[in-house]
Amino acid sequence: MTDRSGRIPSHPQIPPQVPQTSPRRTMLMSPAMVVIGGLLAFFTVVFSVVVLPIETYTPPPSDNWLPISDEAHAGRQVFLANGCVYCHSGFSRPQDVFEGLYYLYPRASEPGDFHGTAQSPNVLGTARTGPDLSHEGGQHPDTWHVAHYANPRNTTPVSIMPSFSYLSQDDRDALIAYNQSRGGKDGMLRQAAVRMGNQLMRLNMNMDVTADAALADLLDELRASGSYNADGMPSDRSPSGLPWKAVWMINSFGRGYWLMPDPLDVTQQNLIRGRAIFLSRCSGCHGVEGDGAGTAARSFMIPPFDFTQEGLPGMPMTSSGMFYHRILTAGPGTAMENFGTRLSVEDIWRVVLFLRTIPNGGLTEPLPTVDMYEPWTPPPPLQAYVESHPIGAALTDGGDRSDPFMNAARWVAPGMATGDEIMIGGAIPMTLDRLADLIRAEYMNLVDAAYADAEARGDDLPDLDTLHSTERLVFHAP
Amino acid sequence: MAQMSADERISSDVEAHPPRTYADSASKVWLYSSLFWIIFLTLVGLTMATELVTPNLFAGIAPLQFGRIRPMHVNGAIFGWLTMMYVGGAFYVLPRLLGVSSLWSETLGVWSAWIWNLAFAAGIVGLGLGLTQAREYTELIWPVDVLLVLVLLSNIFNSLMTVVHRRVRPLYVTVWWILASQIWLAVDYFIDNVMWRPGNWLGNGVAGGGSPSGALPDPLADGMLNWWGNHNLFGLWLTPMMVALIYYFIPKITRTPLYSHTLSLVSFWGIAFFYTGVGHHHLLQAPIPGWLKTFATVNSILLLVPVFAFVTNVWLTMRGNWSSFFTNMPLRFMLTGFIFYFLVNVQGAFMAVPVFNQMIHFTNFIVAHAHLALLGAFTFVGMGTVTYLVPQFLGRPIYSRQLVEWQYWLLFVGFTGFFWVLTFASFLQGQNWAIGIPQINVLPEIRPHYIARAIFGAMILMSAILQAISVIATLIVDTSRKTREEFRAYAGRPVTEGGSHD
Repeated sequence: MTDRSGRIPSHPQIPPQVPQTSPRRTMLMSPAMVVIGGLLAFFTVVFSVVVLPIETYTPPPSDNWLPISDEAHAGRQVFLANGCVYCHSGFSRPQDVFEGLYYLYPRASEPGDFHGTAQSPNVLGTARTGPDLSHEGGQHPDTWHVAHYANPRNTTPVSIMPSFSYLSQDDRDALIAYNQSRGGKDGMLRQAAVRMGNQLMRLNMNMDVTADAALADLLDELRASGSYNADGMPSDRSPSGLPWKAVWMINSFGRGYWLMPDPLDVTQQNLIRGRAIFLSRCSGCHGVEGDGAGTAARSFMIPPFDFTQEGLPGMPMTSSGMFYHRILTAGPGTAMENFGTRLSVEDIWRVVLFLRTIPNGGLTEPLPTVDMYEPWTPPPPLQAYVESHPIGAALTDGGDRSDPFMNAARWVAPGMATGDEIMIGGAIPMTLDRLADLIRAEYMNLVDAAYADAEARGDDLPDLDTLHSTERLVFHAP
Repeated sequence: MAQMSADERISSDVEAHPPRTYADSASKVWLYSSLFWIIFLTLVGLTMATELVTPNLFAGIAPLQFGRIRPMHVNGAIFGWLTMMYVGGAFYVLPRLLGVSSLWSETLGVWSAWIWNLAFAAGIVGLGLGLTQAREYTELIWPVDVLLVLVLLSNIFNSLMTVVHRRVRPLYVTVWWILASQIWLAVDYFIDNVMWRPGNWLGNGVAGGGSPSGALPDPLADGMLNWWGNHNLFGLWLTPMMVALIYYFIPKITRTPLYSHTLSLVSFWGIAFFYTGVGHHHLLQAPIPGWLKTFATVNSILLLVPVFAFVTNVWLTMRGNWSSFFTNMPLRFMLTGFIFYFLVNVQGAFMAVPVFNQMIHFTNFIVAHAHLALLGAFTFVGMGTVTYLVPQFLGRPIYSRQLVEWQYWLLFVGFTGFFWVLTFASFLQGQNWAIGIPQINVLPEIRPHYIARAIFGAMILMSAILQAISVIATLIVDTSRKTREEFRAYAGRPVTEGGSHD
């Protein structure tokens, strides 16, 4: 069994009875076999996994889908040109949605959320180096985004996002509009609530306000009846003796938190932990000295809270419970984010303990000490107001909890109960029903504007009634 | 043996009398160009890694911002370094396996290399300016796509004509791979970039742009096509070309015939059928049709069949040859890459299992896996190819063995460190996200990993630079002259010039 060179052959000798079709010869590959066979194999699979799904899979717009406005569409191009998608994925997964946790991923993305050429090319993304943006609409007010793009460390000291200070103002505003357009109807409702909350807060503080159409109508109506004066609003006191301005502020906190004391002991350990969290989470806006002059503050219309104020212990809106509620669930109408998703309950209370040491050097001294802690006592008018607005009524009244606009109104003014009437800035009468109507009008205006833009662009659109339908609309608070 | 056909007579004639010299001019341009691109891409990679640690580093400089340079890194790896190195290797191997002294047209090959270089460089500049199609791996804008596909077509034509004019009838497995995967790449590139829809041809980031450029109008269909096509860049181009080079160089360097022709057939047709359908495993958590996800998962696991066939074939070819792993640098590079290739495929198959995918999806596990393939497997094989080919081109030994050892160990330590820190970071991310902890809270936890990644990245850049230094030094200095003189002095008689290096 040796070949001509005398070595043992590397393959068996082929028996003489099968000479023409030895497997060694038939298994040789010819160029035609390689080229044609290779392409055949390729296109067989192309047909099965490319042509077939693309042709057979055309999900209709989902219940949550909305078109995007022209400005948002321009912002999408800024988003694409700057490679945002490499860090920010564009869909939430079923495993991201935790019903019991706060608001982070309100719903899993559905096929119908991705519809229409305005969303092409896809921005599904592959990495979550930064947070997912598929439900970003209304999670932050525009001014927060302005500060964030200038330098993300402004608002989020631990962020690793690059600065986008090089964007032109138009590009930046368009990009913000795109962010606000994401999240479909739910996102649009959040945005309507945030915008309305912001305008009412500024009216309450006698600031210049360019009111959106929904609010402008109300203001015109009030002007006609003579009860509203844009130049100088009266700051009458409410029947309880508190100024109306303070009443509206207090009602932006949950009623149960109004007089809630610290549940934790004032120990140096707690204070030090609180300070560490303050510096890593809060100092961007509230400043490293706690005076509300952080690097982000210059972008905000409503200045961040100044914790160094002399009168802090006696102010009506600075109870521990109110601080806690603000950190837990964000400040409706301000740039304050909710930290309930990111900090534990104990840590939030530690921050609250620490805040009370700031007027006495909690941030300027090397370490905060227990004797820096400034106790808070409710001023008598607040005491009176709280007593006349018991918790029970707010929690047990028969309001419609399934109405998304009412739920949004409850988020803007969580302290209000059905039937309460508050004079915003002393002049604009506000009830929960009216607030819900304002948010509804704001929302519908935003939807109509986006629809008009998309129609002019020639997008594939369902009819306007479908888009106006609020059947599946849910308010997921930002 | 009496019935030997004319073709076979030519073949055996060529085996007895192979061409004395080879032109290799096209191969050189492609291969040397790739040396620049690996330095470029690793430098960009290091910049990105540093920016993740010190995000204010280049604040306000748009072309250096993370989102702008990431596509430079990714495209540089695929189309700059690996593709140019592979084509250089292919143009070296083809004439030798086909019994001819040059490609059908070396001139065409040289021109195609320069057009590729220039078009790709223009694409990179465009990315810096924000001209991008903004779909991952298909960022280069339409005019660049057209030029690149034209170059691919010219290379296919050149290779096919070389095959037609060959003097050895049977095609060795390496030639199948080179032919088929060049064709697959061209077709896949065309489909993946949706090149029949140029739309707003300067890219999708241009303000006031019209219809989307290089994307399907329906966003989900676009995503499905995008990821299917992207994975084929690995499955039908980067992997097959690495397999092709391994099939040639391992038997060549060890002077051992390939273990089995049948196994190489299994690996070829297995990859052709199974690898084409795995791309949708990138979208296992996305809202795409369920049957497509199942198809992708099943194919991803079936992929182990051709991989095991290939691995077995090479492993058995290496029987009795493992001592040269320690002595022969090109072989060591290639076998290291070969082992990483085996690992990346086993890892990839498990990553496509939905339960596991759920935990690692969106994390740095994917980044580590991608580097295991492109850096661990393909770059090691590529560096081995460079280290083997340059002395062959020049007929002189590599400048310094010590330098190549440094290059090897820097890459090895840099890559393995990089891989493990990112893998551990991904476990932190996945575990935290799974219990509802938001992404922002995990950032401080993985910051040490990011710092370590940047350090390991610097080692990888060093290795790429050492490779260029090594090649340039070999171009300038012929160390064999000194060796010959020493030998002459020792043996006391003249030695012929131009001895080749193993």
